[in-house]
Order: sequence, then structure tokens, then C-alpha cells
Amino acid sequence: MKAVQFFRKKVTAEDIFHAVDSLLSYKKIIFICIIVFLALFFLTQTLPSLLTWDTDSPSFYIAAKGMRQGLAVYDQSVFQSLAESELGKSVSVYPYIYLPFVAQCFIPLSLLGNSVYFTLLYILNLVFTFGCLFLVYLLLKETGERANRFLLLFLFLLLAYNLPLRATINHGQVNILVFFLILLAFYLLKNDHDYAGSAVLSLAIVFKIYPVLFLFYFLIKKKFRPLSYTLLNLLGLFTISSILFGIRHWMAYIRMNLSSFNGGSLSAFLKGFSSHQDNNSLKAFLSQLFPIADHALVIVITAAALVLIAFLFTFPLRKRIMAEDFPFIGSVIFVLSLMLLPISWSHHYVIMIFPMAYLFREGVSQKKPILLFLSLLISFLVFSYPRYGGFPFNQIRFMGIGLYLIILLSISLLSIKNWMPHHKKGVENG
Amino acid sequence: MEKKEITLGTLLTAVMIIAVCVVVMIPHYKMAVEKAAARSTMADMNLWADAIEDYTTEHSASPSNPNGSISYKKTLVREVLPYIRILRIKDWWGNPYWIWTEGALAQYGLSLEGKGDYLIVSLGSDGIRENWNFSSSDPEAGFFPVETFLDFEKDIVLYNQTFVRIPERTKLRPQ
Repeated sequence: MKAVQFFRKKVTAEDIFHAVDSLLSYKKIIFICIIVFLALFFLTQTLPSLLTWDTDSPSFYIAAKGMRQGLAVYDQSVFQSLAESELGKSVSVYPYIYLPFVAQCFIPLSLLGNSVYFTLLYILNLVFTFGCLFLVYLLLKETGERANRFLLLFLFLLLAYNLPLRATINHGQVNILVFFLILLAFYLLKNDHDYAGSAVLSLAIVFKIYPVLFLFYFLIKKKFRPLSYTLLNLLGLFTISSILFGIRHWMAYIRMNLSSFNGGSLSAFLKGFSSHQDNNSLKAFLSQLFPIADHALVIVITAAALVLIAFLFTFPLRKRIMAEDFPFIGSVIFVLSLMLLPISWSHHYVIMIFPMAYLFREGVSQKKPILLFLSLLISFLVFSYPRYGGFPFNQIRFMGIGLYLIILLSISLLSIKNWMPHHKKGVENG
Repeated sequence: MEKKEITLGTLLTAVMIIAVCVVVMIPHYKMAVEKAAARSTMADMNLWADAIEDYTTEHSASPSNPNGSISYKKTLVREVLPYIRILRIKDWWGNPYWIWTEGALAQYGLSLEGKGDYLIVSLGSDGIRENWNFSSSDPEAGFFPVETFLDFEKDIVLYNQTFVRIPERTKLRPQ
């Protein structure tokens, strides 16, 4: 009879939250052990990256060496011959397709020799990974112990089996650093350090172009002071780089990118990568969905899709966006940047940690288990689904962020009436 | 606002049903993924074939690739670049395609001595060349049924615009 009564017991969403929280908060040491275990699990997965040289890390190294010697690093033949003389023929090095500033920043590291350089980059990437988690926590934490405990656990769960993170560390890429800089910028801006925040954001922009989209945040929120600071800082960084290393690297970079708009004159490397199976951008998705469409048509469809997204997020949600702060707008920009880039590799998806954590936090603070389930599901698709299979299975990661955008749009439209008072009151947790 | 309640029994039953469905679906899902990889690979091979044909028509000579291997640095890739809409040098299992053109040694029992001959090969999911030879007396002998995951390890071979080794249900050129 007792068993029957047990199964007939009514449960609510609050009961489920309470049950999970009781497990987590039973003894503080248990919670700490779970977090430490997840962090160690992540670290052990990244250890093999210390022993292998992947294709991106040597590319930065060779570009830094080339910059120091005043060579034309965007000339593929010059670049490859330098790579062969520095690392030998056995190491495969991708052409350098990043902004000149990145290679210029790596010059001091490249002076230490390749072994020290690769090891330092690995350590720096790990440090910035934990730095990113800390900043995401600071930007999203709320009043209430329970919500923050859930958020912390979710962040470390994201760390545990995160293929984009592992790819970034294995490739020796700079995506984690850029993600860290964006988060730091908005943390500083949140605490009214306008100049420092703008300086950090401009640094992120000269490392990878996509953070330039965050300038829209300033425009939407009519924050013209940080906007002008950022533009001035960008001008300053460009001037310093041009004085020290010459303007020709910037011109070569612009020429290389302009050629991307003309399919016929693309290099085999860039053309191959823009339609690569593992490219998870909107453009690549469309070119796989319509394989008979030519280059120009795919660009037109991509532009039309982006205009539609922009329309949805500006007109129906204008009031909501105006009332919201960085977590909501930042999440949308992070997702749109992945869609907008012509090439979005797996390692670019590390930035999804922030949007996923935001959705999870909303689930906890609104006490909606469905949001928690969806954030866990999309997190699995974005971070843990293996890179494998034919179309459309190879595009699961891209479809994951598409689903995320739809969910964010839906909850925003559904909560448009009661959102503002809900937020003004603040959310009580625990 | 009224609190939505369900019984613990209902919740546990729903979780169990979902778990059983997932376990049953996994092999079917994996098979669908492999089939999609094979289909996408064949579509790519058609793009390569079209590009080689276009190049040959325009230049009255085949692009050159005597040893079959493909990379971004290869002359063949540079030559067909303006004619290929979507350039992929690897198949959908992540292994590079092999392309032999006019003048190369015979492969899989297929001669490449004729004008404009070419052979495009995907080594399948295992990336290892299969010990199979084309039979001119029975050109369809190379078509194979897909029953297990091991069947995806077989090579896919396209010879002068015709698939001669291919999963059975996809004899026609996929688009």
C-alpha cells in the first residue's frame, strides 16, 4: 500500500527543483567534489593536446615569425616556405587567414621557440577557459543561493564533455581568449568602467572580427560613450600596428577577404573551407541544402535569412530588447555571429556557453523544467554531438543554435506582457 | 496561478518510455547517418565529374593527376577550381577523395588510357582501399546491398560519369 501511495504522490516543478537542490546542498563538500571532478575530467581530456601540434597553432606561430621578419604572411608560397624552414615538411600548416594583429601579438611568444610556445598556449587556453566560466557566472548570477548553485553546476557540466572547447585547445586557437575578452568587456561595462570595457572589447575585435557585432548592443541601448571609446581604441590599435609593422599586412588581409566575394578568384583553400562538411554556418547549411545553387544565390539567401532574423528581433521584440540588458542581447549576438560568419568551425561554438547558461538560468528563475530540459538538449547538440555523418546530420550543431534562437524568440514573445514587471520585481530564489 | 501537478508514477513511466524509445532508435539513427554520408559523398563525386568534364570540354585536354591523391596544393584542384561549384577534397567520412585522370595507370580494373577518361573514388567509412575489380562482362556486379554498417566500408567508384561501385538502391546519379 505504501508503494502505491508513493507512486500516487503529486509532484510539481518546484518539488523537482527542491529534490535536486536537496541532493546538491546536503553537504557542501559533496557539491565541491562534483565540481572538482567535472573540472578534472575536462583537464584529462585536454592533456593529449600537449603532445600534438595541430594545424592552427603552428599557423599563428609561423605568422608571428613572418611578421617579425617583415615577410608577406598572406602570400601562401612565402608562408609555406617559412613554415617548412621553421617546422620541417612533416608539420602541416594552414595558410594564415586571420587579422595581422593576432600574429603581431604572438611575436613575444614566438621568440621562446616552438615547444615553449605550444605549451604556453595550451596553459593560457586552460586559464582563459576557467576565466570564461567565472565571468559567465558573474554576469548571470542572481540573488538566491539555489539559482547560483544550479548555474555553477550547469557551467561545469558544459565543461565536462565539450567538443568545441577541446577542439579550440587542441588546435591552439584564440577563440577562448576572444570569448574571455568579450565577457570581461561586458563585466567591466556593467560595473561602469566604460573606458576599460571599451578597450577590452576593441582588443577582442582586432583578434577576431565577429565581436564587432557587439557594437550593435551599444546602438540598441543608445550607449554612445562606450561606442565612441571602442571606435577610438580600434583606430589607435590599427595605427600602432601600422606604424610598427606597416600598413601592407592590413591591405593584404583586406584583399584576401574581398576575393571571397568572387567565387572564381577564391583560393582552393578558402573555397574548400567555405563549403566544407564541418562548416556549421548559415551559408554552409544553405549551400548543402541547395547543392545546385551557385555561390551568388547562396549569398543572397543567407542575406535574406539574416534580414528576416534581424526583423524578428528588432520589430516584434523592440520593447523587450530595449528593456533588456547584456545577457539577452549578448546571447542573441553570440548566436547570430555563428550564423553570420562564412566559416563556423566546431571550435567557434565555444561562445555558446554564455547563451546556453542564460537559457538555463531563465529556466531556473522562472521555475520552468521545460526550459531546463531544452537547454540541456541544445547543449548536448551544440557541445557534445560528434562531428560525423552526411547532410543534415553534419549540421546538427548549426540546427541546435537555430533551435536556440527559436526558443529565445518564443519565450520572449510569450513573456512580452509580463516580462518587465517580472524583472523589475526581481526573482526570488531558494 | 494554479500549480500543475502530476503523479510520481506518471513521471517515472514517461521517463522510462522515453528511455526505451531512445535505445530502440539509436541503431536506426546511426544507419540513417551513414546512408546520408554515402548519399552526400556521391553528390560530391558528381560535382567533381561535372567539373572535370567541363574542364576537358573547354581545354580539349584532361586535368592532370597521375597518382590519384588530392589536396589543396594539387594541380588538378587548381585547374578545376573555376568549374566546381562546391569544392570538397574529403568525403563525408573525412577521408580524401582519389581522382585519376587520363594517362594514369589502370585502377580497379578500369583503363584510363582513353581520351578524357577519369576515375573518382571514395574509400568508404574505413578509408581503406577495397580489393575489388570492375568486370566488363557484368557492369552491375559492383552494386552492393546495404545491410550492415560494414557495407559502408566498401569503396564508391565513379568512372566517366557512371557509378560502377555503389550501394544498390542508389544506382541512379543522386543530385
